Parts: sequence; structure tokens; C-alpha cells
Amino acid sequence: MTAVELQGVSRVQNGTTMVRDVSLSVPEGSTFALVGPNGSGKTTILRMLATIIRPSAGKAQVLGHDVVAEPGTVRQIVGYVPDSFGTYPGLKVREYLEFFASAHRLRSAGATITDLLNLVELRQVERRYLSGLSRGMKQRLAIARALLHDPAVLLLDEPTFGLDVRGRSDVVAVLKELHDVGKTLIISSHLLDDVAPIATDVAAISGGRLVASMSAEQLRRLIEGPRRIRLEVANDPRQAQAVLAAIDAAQSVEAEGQELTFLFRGSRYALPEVVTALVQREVKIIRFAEESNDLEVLLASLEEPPG
Amino acid sequence: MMLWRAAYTDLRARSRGGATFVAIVVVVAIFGLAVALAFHALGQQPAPVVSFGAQNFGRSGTISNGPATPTAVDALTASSRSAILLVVLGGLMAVCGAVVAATVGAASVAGEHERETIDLLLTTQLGAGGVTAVKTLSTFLYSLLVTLAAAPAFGLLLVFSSLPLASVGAALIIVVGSILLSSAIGVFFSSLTRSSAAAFLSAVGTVAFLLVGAAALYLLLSRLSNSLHVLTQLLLLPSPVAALVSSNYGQFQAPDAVLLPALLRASPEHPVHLAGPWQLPVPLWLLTIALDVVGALLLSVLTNKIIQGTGGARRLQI
Repeated sequence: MTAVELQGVSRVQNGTTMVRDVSLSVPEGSTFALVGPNGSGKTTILRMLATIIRPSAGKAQVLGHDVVAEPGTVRQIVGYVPDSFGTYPGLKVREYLEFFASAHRLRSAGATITDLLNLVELRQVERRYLSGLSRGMKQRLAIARALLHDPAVLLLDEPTFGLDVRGRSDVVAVLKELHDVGKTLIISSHLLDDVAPIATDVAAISGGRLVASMSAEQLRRLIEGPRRIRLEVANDPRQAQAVLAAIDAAQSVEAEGQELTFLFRGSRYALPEVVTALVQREVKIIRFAEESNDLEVLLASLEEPPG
Repeated sequence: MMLWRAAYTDLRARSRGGATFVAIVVVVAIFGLAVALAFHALGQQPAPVVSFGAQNFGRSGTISNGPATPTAVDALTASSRSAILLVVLGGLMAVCGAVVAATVGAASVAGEHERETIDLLLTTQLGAGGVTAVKTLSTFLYSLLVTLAAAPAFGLLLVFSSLPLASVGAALIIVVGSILLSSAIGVFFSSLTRSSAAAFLSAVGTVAFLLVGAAALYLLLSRLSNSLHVLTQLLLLPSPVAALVSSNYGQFQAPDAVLLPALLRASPEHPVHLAGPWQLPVPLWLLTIALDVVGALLLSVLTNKIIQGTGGARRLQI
């Protein structure tokens, strides 16, 4: 069954088209990643699904309920975690959840709140003021808040953005747990690495348009595709350029001063061989780093599929 | 029930910290000063005589067993003095409460935008209507609680004056009405501007004009010509001071009527009713309360529409 269905959805805001004719379908129980660079329209799509704003054109449905015609029903089945850590500094952790429980018309939500605090591992700080929480804690609290009314669909806008490694892994662990209990998750991110481990389906969006839709397997293949490598050398860069030119997997070599960048279309385990070849030809390496498999690489790959 | 619980939590969050303590201290201090000044000013007049059983007490506290001293014609009667005190204190309380309400209301919805929590509220069952109701309710209750810290001043009036309880009750209703309207004004500008600072300036400016400036304008214009006087009477409607005079008109005794020249011109026969084409069969103070309630409701409807529409205009980031 389809959890979320968008049909030709557009959103014009202040004369600017934020989302243009987007159609996509999210299967129930899936973890759907909506990836795209900043300003691509991801947040706008999530906010339309959360009934905060209305589509200017097209139709958006959550579990068969129209977001415009039945906003009250949609709010009952959708939980929303925005990209900001908006909290009330004057409230304590448990009070914050109690406030939103009352806003969701939940009666005697004490046990639910305790369960959620345990889920996101914040039980020990339930009497602490929100102003004293770390970003990671606030984000986990935001997820707990979004789960108060036990929604079937959870919308998460950049849930791991701005978190440290520990914070990210904690949030990812919670999301995996939610996926395992059958929740439908729609996660927006501009970092493919963040969603790749948990996504079952992926849609790439750019400039308000849907540019690709793929399975997690296809995504992983893409991620395993081209890697952008940055190389800084101490001696003549032409020497390094010559070495790279002889390696088939190293393509699109560009040099600027002592820095070279190239796309490497091979397994990451083949990268040490490139370093070895450079060292053997007496290239003095200052830095050899793989840039993150960011969305620009993905989108470039979509435009020019790897041969 | 849901609204009450949400409003209560909102109220609890607002009440934390030093701001509430400072607000209460300021309101009580203003009232203390006002009471002292009012008693001092009115104390220049000959003292009223208050009877306790067979004994009469003068201002100096001396006890006389003789008949009450007749009030001088050129001086305030005890009844007028009490009524004036009620108007001064009630008016001050209404204006203080209204300014507190406008200030607190200005930070309500705008604060949600600034804290980036408005989206969280809009995705609950509250929706835009609930957010409007919760914010108006919690602003109103908070301002009422802060203002009522000065309510013992009315107790002084009851103890040391001849005012009936109904007059004090009516004064409190007028105060509550002003706070309700000002709360709605604060929340309205808060949702409209989405900036606490801009909302504060707009809301306090509007409240100051409605509660004080409009009546002052009427007093000014009514002196220019009679036709202007008739046309501008509606400016008295939102004024709690005019409403307090209206509700206590019976307490003002004939020789003291000269104290209220402009207001008394409202209608030669029924000075506390609006005259001219606006003449209505209800006293001014009831019209003022009706205006407060209807105005608050209309502003809440507008606020609801604005909050519904601002979801999209909140920011350009996508």
C-alpha cells in the first residue's frame, strides 16, 4: 500500500516556484530518502505533507487522505521533525512532551511519554530544562515529540544535520528502530552518506524538480561509483598528472596550482594502489583525500551515467 | 479542555524566570504610588465623615459624637471622592493591564516564529485556530494575574469609601475587558509582523491610542465645535476611563459634576449614554465591554487567518 502519494504537486511562494510538478509514491513501511542540495525544495515538500502549507497545484495524499481537504486527519497520522531545533527554554523535557501531548488531545499520556523517553534515551534528563540539552539530545527529543500520537508516517527534515558522529549514530539507531516497527519514514537530506545506511528508496530533487527516483540498491551502486579525490603535491604537479593519466579509473583530472582533483571510478579499496603509483614515481604527496560522496557527485552521475 | 491544558502549560512557561516577578513589582509599585498620590490630592479637600454606628469619624481620625459635618458646596462630597478614586485606580489598572497584555501578546506568535516552533504547533491537532486561542488565552490569563496583584487597592476603596460593591465589581469587569482586547491586539500584531520588537511597538501603540489617545482626541475635538463633539463621541467607546465614569455616574453628586465637563457633555440628560446620532439605550460602560469582547473575537478570527497563511511565508529557505 502507498503511504504517501504526490501527483503533479507544485508550490509557488512569494512569486518563486519552490516545487515544480513533483510526482512520487512512497510505499508503506519504507524509509524514503528525499535527497537534494540546499534550496532544492525538500523542506517545502515535507511541509506540504505536514499540512503547514498547501500545494499551489496538484494533489498530495497521506494514507489516502488529502492534505488540503482533510488536514486534521493527516495531522493525526503524520509526525513532523523540522530542520530546526525549535524548543521552549522555559520548559523541562517531560513538560515539553506533556505540552505537545495536550496539543495532540492525548489523555493520560504519561506512560507514552516515559516509553518515548526510553526509546530516545532521554529518560535520565526528563527533569532538565530544554536550554541545557545538547543538539543531539534536542534532535532525539524532537523525534520523541513527533511520535507522541503514534503516527504511521514520520517526516524528518535533515534529522542528522549539525550533529557530531555520536549524535548521528544515535539518531540513525532510533530511525532504524522505527523502521523495524513498521513506521513509514520520509527523510530529507543533502548528505547522501547520512541516508544511505537506512534508506530503502530514494528520490533526488534539484531546483524544485524530481530528477531521479531509485531503490536503495541503485543508490548504493551510485555511491560506489565515482569518487572525487583531491590531491596536493609538493613538487611538479605535471608529474602527478602524468601518473594519473596512466590509470584508467582516474578521470577528469584537473590541476590548479599544487592541487589536483580527479574522479575515481573504481572500488575504494583500489585507492591505495593509486597512492603507491604516485609515490613510486616520486610524487611528494602533501594531501590525498576523498571528498564526501555528496549530492553534486550524485547529480553529476545522474546526468552522465558511469560508462 | 485541550485548549485549557495547552494554555496552562504556555502560561507556566511564561511565568518562569524573573520577568514576571519584575512585572508584578512594577505594577504594584505604580499602584502604590497612584494610591498615595490620589489620596494626597483628594486629601486637600475637606474630609468626608464616615459613620460607624452612632459615632462619626473625620479624616484626622478624631471621634466626634455630634452630627456629621455638612459637606461644603465647593468641595468634593465623600461619594464623589470615592468615585474619582475608583476611576483613577480602575483606569490605571486597565491601562497597566492593557500594556502588559499588549507586550506579552506581542511576543506570543512572533516568539514561536523566532524560536522556530510555530511549525511544531501547526502540525498538532491545535491547528491555526487552536494556536490563536491558546496564545490569546494564555496572554489574557498571564496579564490578568499580573494586574490583579494590584487588586488590593480596590479593597482600600471599599473599606475607606462609601462605594457599593457593585461599582467595584463593574470596575473590575471593565479592567478585564480592556485586558482581553489588548491581549487580542498583541497576539494579532504578533502574528502579523512575526517579529517581537515590531509587534511590541505596533500593539502598545494601538492599545495606547485606543485606551487613552482616542478619549484624549475626543476631549480635544469636542471643544472645537459642537458638531465635532457629536461626531467624535465614538472615540470614547474603547476608553476604560470613560467607561468607569459611566459606571459610577450615580456616585458623582451634583456639585462635583463640573469635574467631568467633557464627559458630561455626551448627553445633557443621560451623560453616561452616547448622545447625538449614536444614542443607544445602554450605558457607555456596557458598550465598552461589548466592544472589548467583540473586538477580541474579530481580531482572533483575523489572527487565525494570518497564522493559516503564514506557514508559507515564514521564510524563503526550503
